[in-house]
Amino acid sequence: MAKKTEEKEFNYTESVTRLETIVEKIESGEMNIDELAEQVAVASQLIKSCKEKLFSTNETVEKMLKDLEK
Amino acid sequence: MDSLSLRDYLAAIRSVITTQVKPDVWVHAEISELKVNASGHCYLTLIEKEASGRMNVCAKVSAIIWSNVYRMMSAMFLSVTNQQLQPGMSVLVCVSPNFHEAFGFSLVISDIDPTFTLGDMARRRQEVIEKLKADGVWDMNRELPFPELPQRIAVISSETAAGFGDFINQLEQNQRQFKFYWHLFPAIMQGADAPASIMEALDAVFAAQECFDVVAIVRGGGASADMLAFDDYDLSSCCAQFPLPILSGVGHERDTCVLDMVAFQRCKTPTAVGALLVDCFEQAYAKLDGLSLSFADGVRSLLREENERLKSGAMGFVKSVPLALTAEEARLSRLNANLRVMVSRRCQQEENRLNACASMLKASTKLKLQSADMNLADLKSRLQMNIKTLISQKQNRLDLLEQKIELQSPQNLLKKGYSMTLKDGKLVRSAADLKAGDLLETRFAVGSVKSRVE
Repeated sequence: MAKKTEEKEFNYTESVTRLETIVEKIESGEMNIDELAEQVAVASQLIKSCKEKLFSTNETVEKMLKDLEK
Repeated sequence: MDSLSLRDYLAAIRSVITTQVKPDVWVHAEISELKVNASGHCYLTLIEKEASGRMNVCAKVSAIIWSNVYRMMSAMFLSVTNQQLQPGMSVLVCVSPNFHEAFGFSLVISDIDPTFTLGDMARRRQEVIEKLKADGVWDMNRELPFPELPQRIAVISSETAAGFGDFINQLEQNQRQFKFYWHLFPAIMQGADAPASIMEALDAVFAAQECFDVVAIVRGGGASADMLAFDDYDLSSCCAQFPLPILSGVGHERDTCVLDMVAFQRCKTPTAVGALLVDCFEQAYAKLDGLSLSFADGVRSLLREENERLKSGAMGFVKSVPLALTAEEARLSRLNANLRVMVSRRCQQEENRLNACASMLKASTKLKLQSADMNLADLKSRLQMNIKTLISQKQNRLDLLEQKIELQSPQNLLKKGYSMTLKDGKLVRSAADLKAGDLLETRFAVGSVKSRVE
């Protein structure tokens, strides 16, 4: 899995809200075709990172907890 | 001087006590120590603290509950108060004095009124609650924002505590394999030392608070679990003001301890705390899932719509092209026809204009010529006339001039007897211009003479 360097910047709640706005825009028909391709890319990336947050191990957090042991 | 043996003396005291002091008296006191020995006898120390000030001990005695009594009493006590007899508790007990020469003085407890302890515990709990409310910290922890993803958990429990294992299993074995990160901050979860130990753990969590989303204080133990620790004012105050939301699962079916009340969320058991955390993830996951589904549907339907539009556009286009063409053709041919007509009309117009110009031209030139003719004739005659007059005028003027010159000419003057005097060839008009000795020339009508001024 790619090393997650910008982990701190990724904010789960913000990404979900952004995802909601994109979906709303699509459902409301505001989205035009040119924007669509780009927004699809953005949205799929958001979903991927959110899922990762839920399921996959995050090295930085593991490391921090290990540091507590010392 | 006669003296008594210690034994006799103490025996005397014992007899006084047994005869004078009334047995089976109900006394309320606080348990400061409690030990049950192998044979099941329960040895306690009862104390009383001064109500105010530094609350130091103003009365202290050791007490004993014989095993047969203790067995029955502790079961009854547990069923009523849901607690074990333990240090720190205030109790109402029925005691009788027991003085033994060798073992000293102690009280024998024959009965206990658990409702007193219950009342005392409730009263103390209420006191702590009032104090926390007065401090204004009562709702602080509950008002903290709860993270959407409580993923990093600071666990305060003890490895050996029953609930700890269940809690961790609940997290690690969750059905969807959500990823949780937890770190144990061990603490004593039972007995008098528990509050201080838990607070120590809280301090450690506080130091590393940015590594965690929530704190879970968990301990199993079911009915016999000791609750006193979790009614402790300092501990509850510390939890109330803790910057991270606290989830309390200290395993008590019926009573809610003060810690439960100040904590962000109270759960009955450690497993329940685990379930709560997993449930937060479940909701987040469901929301995310829903979003990605509606996203996909949205994109697909939008593409479909766009496709339809294109298709209908295309069809429309296909139909409209020939129409447009024929229309265009018609327009062209119309134009063409118009063109020819317009051109010829235009030429006609031009021709007419030209003819008109031509005739106008002719007329106007004739006119012009005639007027010029007249003009000339007129000029000519005027010219002739003017010339004549001019010449005659000039003639007269000449004659006149002639006469004047005639008159003025020196010849005439000389003839009349005048003479001209010249000095160095120039005319002399005044005698002042001359001085003696100047050579003069005088001219006459006939000849001239030279002379010298005297």
